[in-house]
Amino acid sequence: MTVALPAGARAPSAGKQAAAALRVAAVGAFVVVGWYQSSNFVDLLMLAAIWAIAAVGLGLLMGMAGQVSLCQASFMLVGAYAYGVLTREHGVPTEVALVAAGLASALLAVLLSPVLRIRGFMLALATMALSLLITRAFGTGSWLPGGNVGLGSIPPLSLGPLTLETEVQYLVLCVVVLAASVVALRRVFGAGPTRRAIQLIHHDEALLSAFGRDGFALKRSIFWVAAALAGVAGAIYAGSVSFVAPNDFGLADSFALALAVVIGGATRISGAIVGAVIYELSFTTLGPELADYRYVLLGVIVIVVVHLFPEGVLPTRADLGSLVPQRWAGARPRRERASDRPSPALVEPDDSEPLGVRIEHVTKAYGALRAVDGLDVAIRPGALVALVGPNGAGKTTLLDLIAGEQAASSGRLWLGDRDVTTLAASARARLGVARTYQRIRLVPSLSLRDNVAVGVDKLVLEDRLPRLAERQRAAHADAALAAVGLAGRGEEPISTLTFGERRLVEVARVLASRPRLVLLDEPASGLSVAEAEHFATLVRRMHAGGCTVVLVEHDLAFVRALAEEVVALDGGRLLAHGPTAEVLATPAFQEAYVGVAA
Amino acid sequence: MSDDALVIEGLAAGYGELTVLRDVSLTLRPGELTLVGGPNGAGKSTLLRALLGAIPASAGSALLGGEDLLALDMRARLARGLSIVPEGRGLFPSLTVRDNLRVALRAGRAGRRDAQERVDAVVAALPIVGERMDDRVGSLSGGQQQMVAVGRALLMRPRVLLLDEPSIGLAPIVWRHVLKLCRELADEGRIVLLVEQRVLEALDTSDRCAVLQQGRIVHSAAVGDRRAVEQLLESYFASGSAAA
Amino acid sequence: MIDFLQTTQGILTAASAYLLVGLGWNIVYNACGYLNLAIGGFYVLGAVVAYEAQARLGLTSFVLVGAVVVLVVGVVGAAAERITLRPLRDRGLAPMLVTLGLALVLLQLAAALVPVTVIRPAVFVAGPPLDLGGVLIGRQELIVWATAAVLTAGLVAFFKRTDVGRTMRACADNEAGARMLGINVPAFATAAFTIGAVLAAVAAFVVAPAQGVAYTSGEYIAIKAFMAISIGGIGRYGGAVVGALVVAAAEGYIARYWNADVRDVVVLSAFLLILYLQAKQPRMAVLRRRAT
Repeated sequence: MTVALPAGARAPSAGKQAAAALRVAAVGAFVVVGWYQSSNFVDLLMLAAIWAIAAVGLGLLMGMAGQVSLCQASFMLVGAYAYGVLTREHGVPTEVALVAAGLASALLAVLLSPVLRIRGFMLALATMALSLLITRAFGTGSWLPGGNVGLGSIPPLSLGPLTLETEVQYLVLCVVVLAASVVALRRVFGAGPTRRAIQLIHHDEALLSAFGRDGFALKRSIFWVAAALAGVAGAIYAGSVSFVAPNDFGLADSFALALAVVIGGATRISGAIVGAVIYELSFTTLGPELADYRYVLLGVIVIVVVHLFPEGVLPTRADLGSLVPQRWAGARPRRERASDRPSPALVEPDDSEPLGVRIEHVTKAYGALRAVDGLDVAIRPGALVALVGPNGAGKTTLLDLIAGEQAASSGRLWLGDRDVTTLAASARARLGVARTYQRIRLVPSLSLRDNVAVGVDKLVLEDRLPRLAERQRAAHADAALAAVGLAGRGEEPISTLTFGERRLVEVARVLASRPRLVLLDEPASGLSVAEAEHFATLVRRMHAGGCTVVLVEHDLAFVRALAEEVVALDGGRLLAHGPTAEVLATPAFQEAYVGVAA
Repeated sequence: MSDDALVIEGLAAGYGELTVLRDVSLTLRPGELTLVGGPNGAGKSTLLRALLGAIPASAGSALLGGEDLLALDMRARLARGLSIVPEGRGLFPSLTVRDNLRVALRAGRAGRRDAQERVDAVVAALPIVGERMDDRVGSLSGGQQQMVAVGRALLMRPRVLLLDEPSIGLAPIVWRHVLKLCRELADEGRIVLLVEQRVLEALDTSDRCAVLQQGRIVHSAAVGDRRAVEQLLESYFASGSAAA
Repeated sequence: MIDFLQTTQGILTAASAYLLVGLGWNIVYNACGYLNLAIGGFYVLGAVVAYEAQARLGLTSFVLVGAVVVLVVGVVGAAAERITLRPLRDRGLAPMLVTLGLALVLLQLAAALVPVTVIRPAVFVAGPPLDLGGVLIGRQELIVWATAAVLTAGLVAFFKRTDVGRTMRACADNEAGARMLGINVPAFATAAFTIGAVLAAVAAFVVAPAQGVAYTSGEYIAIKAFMAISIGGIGRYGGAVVGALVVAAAEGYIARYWNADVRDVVVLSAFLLILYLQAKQPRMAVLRRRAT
């Protein structure tokens, strides 16, 4: 057992602190050299700020949500052209055009958002194709004012009576826009259930569906918000240099923006700003003779950062430890208030009925293999039932079929009195289904409390709780943690937990969602005898609270001690279904399990 | 005699945070077929992986001819004569049977002249391997694939042969054939370690039997002893652990 | 008719490049498990090295220049993989981000070495184009087709008939199984990455004298090559040939008989549609790795 430590108390080692300080110094030196070598530092900073506006949006999409997008610069192109065409060709006031540029990019992003169904490596490739496509679409012939040469004499931005003419003025505007967007993004995406959902999209999108929320809608809103920021950045660029051409903001710029996010760090919304500054300053840092090699420098920086500082070039405040004055360090230990404690109604089970399961002739085939083969089983509401059978019997597949994580090849499936055969996993979860996994699925970037609060968020999504304030959700999560014996440890990161404790966190997450049907996949595997006993007690208590429990388990002693009835499977078919002791004693079951004595 | 044995003492291993094997001690002798049974998740595969070096051991020793295998990396252990038929067989389904054998031979650095001799020996022991030599492994039945996996392990002329649940997906008659083969391999003077969930069928073929539960050996005896079988069944189906 | 055949000639050349670069994508993805976004960079590097071998080393022979390209790009590719990518195995998207950095480094190095927009080394076989009943076929074109055909056949033989090739296939098939035989899987990943880089470079080396290689063309070629293998089916050489021909034919005929400006727009849109349908319907996905 690890000793519980309040999060703030974990001080970094002196060596780590020194390394962190060195990184700050290195970034500082880079900026100073860039300033020393530059002929017009303000111009450089203005451009850096423009890129930073686009990078911040991308940081949210790519850094926080983990969706590698290589077409962010294309949205700058769209914004720049929207601004240029509206102001020059149609005489639209520049302030209006600035907003319209953001909207145009956002609209395009919404239209293109199906691309977000593509995942991982393929998304990178698809957005790369999008970038090339948009560049080509703008570059083909004369449909745009200015044709292939580009759009010149774009009017400068004016805000009311003030026309922005100097670089300093544009810099100030950019910084204001940047600050406002960071604050807004933090509020909307960087806190509460949305922050948790974004972390789940990043680490385990299927888990988000299992807890009732479809990741696509959230990804889409991040995508268009990021695009809107890029559009605004493009418009400011067009206003400041009064010219834009179809081959501006090409794939190389999208690459650069992505790399700025990587360099600046993916875990903080502001990280991308640092990355954008480094990107822009690399124009001058190497001096005029070596200026051609700036991308080499950037490439090398990226490679080093990915290897050594996966969280970004700047250290976190925690890494710096005592080097940062306490009052800057944030995250002061929160004093508990009376209103933080959950009201009894929150912890107690509500009056929702346990959910039964009816499986009618369900088959799940993978090619020729039938993992589940024409199975008919009914699990009555409120049962505590174990699925047992030898390896390959189809137990986990059946659990996945019930949860909707896999679709049945044929047959029908009911939860309660509702036919859910074609219902998505997230919708089934919202009926009150919650589960744990054979290989524990927790989100490493979230604290214990936040991992459990995902269950509370599910309860709100189900409309069984009112829209709670974040503080109440946290209190509710803490209550669930206390229920599994992890009281007071909500601030800890997952990495400090033992294996057995991680299983308990999964259970707390399920408990917090006040499930009507619980699916547990091999909950006892990897647990010590004492841990398994504790676990069994928790399951009994959960069951007594009014829900159906279905568990897959290999340890028959555990099953015998816990389950009231057993569904025995072999080769995807039903072998027996009945009271535990009875089924475990049938010869057919014993044969399936250990074979026939020769 | 005991110089040639594989003596495992106090072995512990796991995956990162998770400790699966705790304090496992077992002596495997040449010419003997040792059967390790136990439910899924008991640590059977982990035991084989730790012996082979696919995962690091966190404590204990495994002496083969006086040398501690745990101090060697996996390639060195393979060079000392360990060979495994892994869980899921570890074959290359898009390659032909012949190419599966060739890849193994090259990985084992067998000499070119020696190679044909080795293949011939395997074909002699497992005629089916010879018959399907130019078919893709993915097109073979489960039983035939198992034969190829065993044949490929034999190609290395192992002193110690580790088999991880070879019964999965096999028809009873094929399974009995594999068991017979294991028996013959042991009789040739090899150390054969078979881990299985379906132990009963394998019991009569084995010399010794141990039961793993929750990462510990809860029972170990020479086969033939009737009580051993009863205890074994007990440990599978009855109480005596966990949440009892 | 002559016009159609003349267009087809250009299509065959483009298809050859797509085929070689596509095989490069394929080999790296199978063996290493990530997409090598630097492949466009290696393509441009191939043209630059060929140009430099002619300009600075004074080499004129096809074989010698080719050897220099293979050697230089091979060393760069192997070093890049060994130093920057191997330590990142099993770190999710991180290796791909590094290849993004590599792409920038390669493109910039290439641009700094040969400061022209379009790199065009001298042709290896001088002389007027061959006249086949009115259809003109450039001599360099013949070299391009022959190179693609020979290399593709050579790769098939390499993966089927050599120990190293078979072992590379084995690693892609079942990495865990390969490791349990004592195969040094990372070393074979380095080899695969190197082969992928060299294939892209050789494509540019033969195409550049015929059509020139622009710095900005690397990514277009890379995307279209990927599209070719998506259509043809990953791992199937016959399929890759068909896919390369389909992509090249589509863009070639669109450009000639409809509008050269919409060529890339149509082809890229089709590619996006393919990727989207694959994401919706995983069974269609052609990039499948490891059976187990």
